[in-house]
This record gives sequence, C-alpha cells and structure tokens, in this order.
Amino acid sequence: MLISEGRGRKVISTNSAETLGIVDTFVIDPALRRVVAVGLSKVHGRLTVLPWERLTFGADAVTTGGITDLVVPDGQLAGLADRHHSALGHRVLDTAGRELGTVRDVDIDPTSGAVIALLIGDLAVPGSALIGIGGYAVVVAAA
Amino acid sequence: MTVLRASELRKKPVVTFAGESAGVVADVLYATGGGSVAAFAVGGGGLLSGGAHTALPWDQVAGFGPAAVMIRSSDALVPIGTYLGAVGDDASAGARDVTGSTVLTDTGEALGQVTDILVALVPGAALQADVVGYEIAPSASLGGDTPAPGGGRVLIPVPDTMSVSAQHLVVPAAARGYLTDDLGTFDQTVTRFRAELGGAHRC
Repeated sequence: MLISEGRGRKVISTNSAETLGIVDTFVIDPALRRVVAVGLSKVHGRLTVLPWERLTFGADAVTTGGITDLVVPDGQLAGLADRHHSALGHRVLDTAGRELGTVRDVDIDPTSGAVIALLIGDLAVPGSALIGIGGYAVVVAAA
Repeated sequence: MTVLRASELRKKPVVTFAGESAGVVADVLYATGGGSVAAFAVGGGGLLSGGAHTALPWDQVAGFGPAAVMIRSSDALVPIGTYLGAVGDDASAGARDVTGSTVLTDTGEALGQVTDILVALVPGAALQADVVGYEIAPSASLGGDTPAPGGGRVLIPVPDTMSVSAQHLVVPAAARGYLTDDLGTFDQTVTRFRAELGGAHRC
C-alpha cells in the first residue's frame, strides 16, 4: 500500500463505532524500517498518534479499540513523529554522497507496517536500504 | 578516479547517516607534504555552540559524492584545536593551504602560482583523496609558449611525494611537459607523468 493512498482514511473505534480521527502522517522508524505509528488529524485534544500495533489498516478504514489507544507522542516516538523527520517530499542521499531525488511515495506492508520501497522519481529503492530519516535528508545505502 | 578542484569541496554539506546536517566543508586540510587530504574543517553545523569549527578527519569520511560528504554520526567530528594538536606542529604547517605558493621546478624555473589544488578520489575499501596536481596562474616565462584558455590557468601534475614549504612547491622539471588545461582527462595526465617518473624518483 502506498502511504499516499492511506492518508485521509478514517480511524474508527471498534468499541464505540465513532470516528476518532483521520490518518494524516506515517511515522517511520528507520532503524526498524517500518511504520511504528500513524499521526491523526481532526482529533479532539492532544492524543494524536496511534501506535501501529494497536490498529488494523483495512481497505476502507483503519480500526482500533477506542480512544484510549491514542497517545501523545513522547520520547523517541516524538522525535520520529516530528514533521521534519517525515520522509515524504524529502531529499534522498545515498551513503556515497549522491543525491537520488525526493521521496514521492512510500510503499508499505499494510499488515506489518514494513517499508517495502521508497519511490524516488522513477526509482524504487528497497526498504532494506533505508538507513536514516533526518532533518536534512533521507539516507539510503549506496546501490 | 575522479579529479576535483579543492575549491569545489568548500560549502559541500556534511550529513550523518541519520540524515541530519552536521555543517558544511569550510576548508580542506592537507597531510604533511601536501600529498593527500587529511581532514576537512567543518563549520556552521549548529551542533556546537558559538559556530566553533570542527575537523572531520578523512578516515572518518564514510562517503564522498557530488551532493554531500557522508559521515556515520556526528561523533566523526572533533574540535579543530584537538585535531591540529594531535597531528602536531610539524603537520599543521603541512596542513596549511598552499594556494598562492610558487611552483618551482627542481631545475629552478618558476612555473606559476597555485590557484587551486587538484584532488583525485580513488574509490575502494578505503576511500583515498590524493593531491595529484595544481591549478596555477602561469608565470611570464610559461605564458609565452603555452596556450592560455580558461582564464589563463593551467593544470600541472605532481608526484606522489614532494617538497613543500610555505613559499614554494618543488616539482620535477619533467612536469613542465605535462601542462594541460583539461581537467576531464587529468587523471590520465597524472598516470603518464608518474609513470615517467617511474616511482623511483621521489623528490
């Protein structure tokens, strides 16, 4: 699943059947090479992040138990969720110091959240090559 | 082997594998004798307060490309005073930029003044950055018989090791026969020149 397709999907509570928010961002941990949480928009209060292990990414909606599954990002998750560390639209450098382009989209496994590939222009870089996502660039292993 | 002008290395971003900026290359520091790049002086990273400059020893460079100098982490950077202290007074003299120095042949002919330093990146398990030549503003004696395209600057190859002081760089007189204005084929020029020297002749 491309994360561009996943954005905007409603997050529904299976307890209350209410809409808790809208999927806005995907928080990727480059060390694990997978999505560890989704950031939500249109949420009441400060609970804005839903950890990946508490959700089911369905074809039409994202489901989770209830509002208690949402958290305020703290510690390491807060750093990863920082908008400066978003992969989308970011410059990509390889470990040899070459610029590959900008991240157009990210292909993820909707079950595990694993990053399958980074789409950079016409190029698809396998998720296994992902090394870092920082304020300056996304870094991938040189091919 | 790619040959670059050292001036092109300045302002190049230094980036960690985590994707964070660690500053930009402010200057190139050379090993004693000027035969290779020993370190980069890095500035403007914001990692250290007061804009203090740090040194990035060449052996800590993980990747060197057109877009950036890559390092594994900001641990690769050391305070520049610590770096210059560690390499010693002797080396810090050699670490100085030779731009402006006069290139003299071992037969006593002044060829010109150094305007830029030509560095060859030799890929491999351990990336190397050798100084293979200089861009010089040719002296009047050369100007007469040398075409002067590209603003009059010419490129001259140098041996593996050579004598350098603050004022002079001494090159074998044979280098005079290898003057060129073509950076694109300069790696071949260096190879031919060093082959003529045969490796036995070290000045």
